[in-house]
Amino acid sequence: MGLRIEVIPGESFLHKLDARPKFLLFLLITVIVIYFTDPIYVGAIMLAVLLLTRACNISIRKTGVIVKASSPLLIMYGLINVVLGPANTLAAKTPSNILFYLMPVMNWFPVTPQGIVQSVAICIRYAIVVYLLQLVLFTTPVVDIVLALVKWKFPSSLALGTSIGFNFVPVFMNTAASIMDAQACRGWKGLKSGNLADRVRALPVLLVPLFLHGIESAQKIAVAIEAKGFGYNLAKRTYSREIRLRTIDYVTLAVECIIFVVSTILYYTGYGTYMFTYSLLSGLRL
Amino acid sequence: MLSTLESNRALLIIMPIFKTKEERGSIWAFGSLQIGYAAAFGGLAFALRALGIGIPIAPGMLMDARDVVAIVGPAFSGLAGAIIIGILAALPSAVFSVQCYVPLTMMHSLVFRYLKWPWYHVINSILLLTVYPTWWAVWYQIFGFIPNFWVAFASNLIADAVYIPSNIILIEILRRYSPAAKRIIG
Repeated sequence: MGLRIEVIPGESFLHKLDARPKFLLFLLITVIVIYFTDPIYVGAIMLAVLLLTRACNISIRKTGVIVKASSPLLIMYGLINVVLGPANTLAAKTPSNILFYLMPVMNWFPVTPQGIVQSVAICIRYAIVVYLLQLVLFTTPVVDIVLALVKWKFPSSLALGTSIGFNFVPVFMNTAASIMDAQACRGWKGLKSGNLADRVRALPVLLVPLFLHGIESAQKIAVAIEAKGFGYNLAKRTYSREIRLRTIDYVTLAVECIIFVVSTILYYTGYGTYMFTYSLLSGLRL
Repeated sequence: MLSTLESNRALLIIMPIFKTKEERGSIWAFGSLQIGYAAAFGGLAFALRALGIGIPIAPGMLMDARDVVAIVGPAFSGLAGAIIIGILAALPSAVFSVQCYVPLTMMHSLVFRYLKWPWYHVINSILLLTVYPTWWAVWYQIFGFIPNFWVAFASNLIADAVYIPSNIILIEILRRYSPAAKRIIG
């Protein structure tokens, strides 16, 4: 299992932070890792994220389960970038840069050190993006996420639907697991056996009961929210829990702005490209 | 005279493709039932991804079952509900998927809204073969995970081998065995 929706209680900086600056921090890191294609720059961001996790008294191993679950995808992105990444494509035009060919007989798919360096950065980038989501979910209650959406003028009905959807995730996870067990008892071989046609045929065996369960749940949700007065002046709905920006949130927002400006300047002045690590490695070789 | 007859006949052929105004209802209708569908199918998509349920078609390539939910779910939830399904389906694989999923779920919602059976299968399949891989390929390139557009396009096109039949089979089974589903999807 990969992603977990649970809050690990704590009194850390990230726990205390309002959901809005926390989301912005999450978005900011996602944007700045796209800026940089150098493993040292991206690695430094990863290190900062790991330190932040430790500061929250949250296990890095527990948070990193999602990265482990995404490792096949990570490896695939890495391999694709080694061969087709812009750094590799550019460097392969100079034959002296080529280390080896992935298909040596035909001299196809040359691999260069520049390609490998950039590929490492892309893998770390993906790991950061996936890891961060789990970290946010570990430190933010769903209700805060919804309140943040409402504060950002997201329509109340959409925010309500999103929050109910979030709360239904564990229910569907249990239902899916039960249905898989039940179908396996009836001889269902799962989604990993047989050829592609068999697997495609096996998917509705799982999805049909889940959809029927979904339809039933939707009707129950509709009745429940109608019973709780849905539709009566939804825009002026109040919440038992209020979120308010405090000094720590404003300071975080200011730091986020500074990080964004500095990263953007670095990006537009040509820093943070794979050439930084590549030149360091070349220097070591010399 | 003949041309008028021909154009009328052409209209008669074309008309059943589209749902009537009564069948469609309001485009932004988002009552309690639509919220229920959006929440249920959004939650389901999230759960399927979180559990890692999908069809492995090659090492490292897992065709997520959540994508089928993201295609069929908007048929129930309507256009506004499709936004919720898109957000909830996207979130388990990080924030960069949100802008990929939301427009696609809205697109499928519009197809189900305007087209009658079986035309929505035809148009959805065409969109899955064209718009879906193009859209994903563009974002993969922006994020740098798959830097070559055509490789990204092809990898998403492979996914259609799973999504198109799964989506058709699922809808047909639901139409056959669930009167509620048949009434809503059409």
